[in-house]
Amino acid sequence: MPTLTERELDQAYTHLCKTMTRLGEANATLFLARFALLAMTRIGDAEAALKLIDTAAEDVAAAAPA
Amino acid sequence: MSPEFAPYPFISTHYPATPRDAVAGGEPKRHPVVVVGGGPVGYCTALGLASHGVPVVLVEADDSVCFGSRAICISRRSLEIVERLGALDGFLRDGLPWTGGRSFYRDTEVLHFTMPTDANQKLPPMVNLAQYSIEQHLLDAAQARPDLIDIRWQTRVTGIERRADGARLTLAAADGEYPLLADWVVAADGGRSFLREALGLQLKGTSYEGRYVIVDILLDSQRPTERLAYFDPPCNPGSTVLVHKQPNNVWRIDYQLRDGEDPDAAILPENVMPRVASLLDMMGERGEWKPIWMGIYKANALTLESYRHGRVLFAGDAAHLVPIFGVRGANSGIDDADNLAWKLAFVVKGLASDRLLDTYSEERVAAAHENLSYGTKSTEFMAPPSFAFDLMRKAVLSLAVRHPEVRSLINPRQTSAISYLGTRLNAAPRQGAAFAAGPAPGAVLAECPVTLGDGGESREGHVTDLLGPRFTLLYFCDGDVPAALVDLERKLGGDGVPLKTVALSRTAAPNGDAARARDHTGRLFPMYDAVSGTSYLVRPDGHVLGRWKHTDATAVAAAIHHALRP
Repeated sequence: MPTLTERELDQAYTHLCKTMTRLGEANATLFLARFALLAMTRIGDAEAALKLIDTAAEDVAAAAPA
Repeated sequence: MSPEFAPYPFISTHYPATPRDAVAGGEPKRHPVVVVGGGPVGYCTALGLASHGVPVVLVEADDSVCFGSRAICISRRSLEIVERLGALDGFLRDGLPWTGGRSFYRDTEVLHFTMPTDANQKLPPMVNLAQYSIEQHLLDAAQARPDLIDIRWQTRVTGIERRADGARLTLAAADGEYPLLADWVVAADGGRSFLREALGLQLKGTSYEGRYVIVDILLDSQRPTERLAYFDPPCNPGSTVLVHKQPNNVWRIDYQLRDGEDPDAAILPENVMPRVASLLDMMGERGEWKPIWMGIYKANALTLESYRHGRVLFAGDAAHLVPIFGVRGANSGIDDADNLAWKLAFVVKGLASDRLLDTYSEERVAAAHENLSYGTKSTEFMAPPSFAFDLMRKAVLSLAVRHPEVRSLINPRQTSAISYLGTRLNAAPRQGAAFAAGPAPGAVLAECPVTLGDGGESREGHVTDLLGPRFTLLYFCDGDVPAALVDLERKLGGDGVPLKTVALSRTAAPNGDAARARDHTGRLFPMYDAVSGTSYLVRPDGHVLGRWKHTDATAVAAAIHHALRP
């Protein structure tokens, strides 16, 4: 499985943050949902996608702001 | 009730005001170099110039070293520079060495980072030392050179008139104003630089909104020296807190203000004290403590577009403002001073064309952009500039507990040595293909232990010990240094250009005049991918100028000539 270098991850992270900033908070959820959908099809592995969804959901309630 | 503040554990010497120059009629005194500003950058520039034998007037507005909460982290690269300036002992004696840090999300450790260090190193990757001590050690070294460094205490620059051959400065001493002529002016007068203003120059870049409260406290604790970062800690939910240990039981605590908090109210002792108390309680620190200093910080990522403006050269905070996260402020300023000092010295002595000073600006502006890009990344994480950065940080931190693959995003990207890979001073770029390892032109030397000297005079040392205020040719060989290189050193020396060839050998072979060092660990030759006959030509600031697998004295001479007339 291809992996990102630390630098590549960093660049992608910053691009995501800046893009989301530009779209504004009102559009953030839809933007992230669209990104998740595109990432899912790009992963091309149903089992991996399902597992990532479950992993991302773990502890979300605890991590969410008070 | 306001709390009792403790003083910093440092007794500063107060220096009497330097009287003004008596200017009776006629022309004011003329000096080759005037350095404006007695901070780390000003002192390093003055010491660097003095190491090349160039006299300096240093103008300082105050009567002592700085006061209050300033730089505290000095990098290995800065220590290497300070060593060449003759002030390392105090830094190592008083500073606290450290190698890494820990980040916590709520009550869980999510990152333990270490800075690069290994058995080849001479110096620690970082030491913590308060800026007043940094300045005092540099000042002590400067005062040991009264023949070359003339410090004007309690003297302020109030005017500058630029001329083709220098500048006419107006200085305000305690007993009145006086003019002074300078061939060259170094503006090391800090973030609120008068000279930058006087020349009508503007810093460009980004100013961040997020604010941090900075508190220094006195606390006796045996906790090790490392960088601690707490994200959304139980003691201060929603905030980010940084903790650094300084010498003599001083601790630096930085915490982020929440959105909407009033900065003026936030630094009132009655608001600061409970935040610090709950942090210490969370850390398990039960000892008595007292506040020393409270202030507020807002991150800036700004630089001038050029650091050379005719005869005026900008360095340190006067030239660029870098966010504190990643500790690039004082360290990048010391790097500026080191880059500038030898170039200015060579120009003042008539050994180099003034175009060499354009490369100071080119190299250090590029370095500032590199520092700013890392500093910006750190700031975007430490003080998220928008809801998106804030949301994504929450995602990173909450995932980092169980998913190591995202932890690199938390790393504070501490400062490391900059390479001038693109500088036009670099020689023999085509030789690069011949090397599978070793520092490329523009990079600093890779550290490695060596035995210095030969025969009965030898001692343990490191490669960086071989450098000095000159060009240094590290010549790898198992026999003698070729006559052509010995001749080159003598010929350049005759013209006033300092070059020293050091023979690096795997065996302790006797040799005539050349300085020698021995690769007793056997690690040096492979680290530099060297064979007998390989050489690395090193600039006075420790950056490689060129390297040759099989050395030709003519090519070495051409590289030095090119550096002096770029």
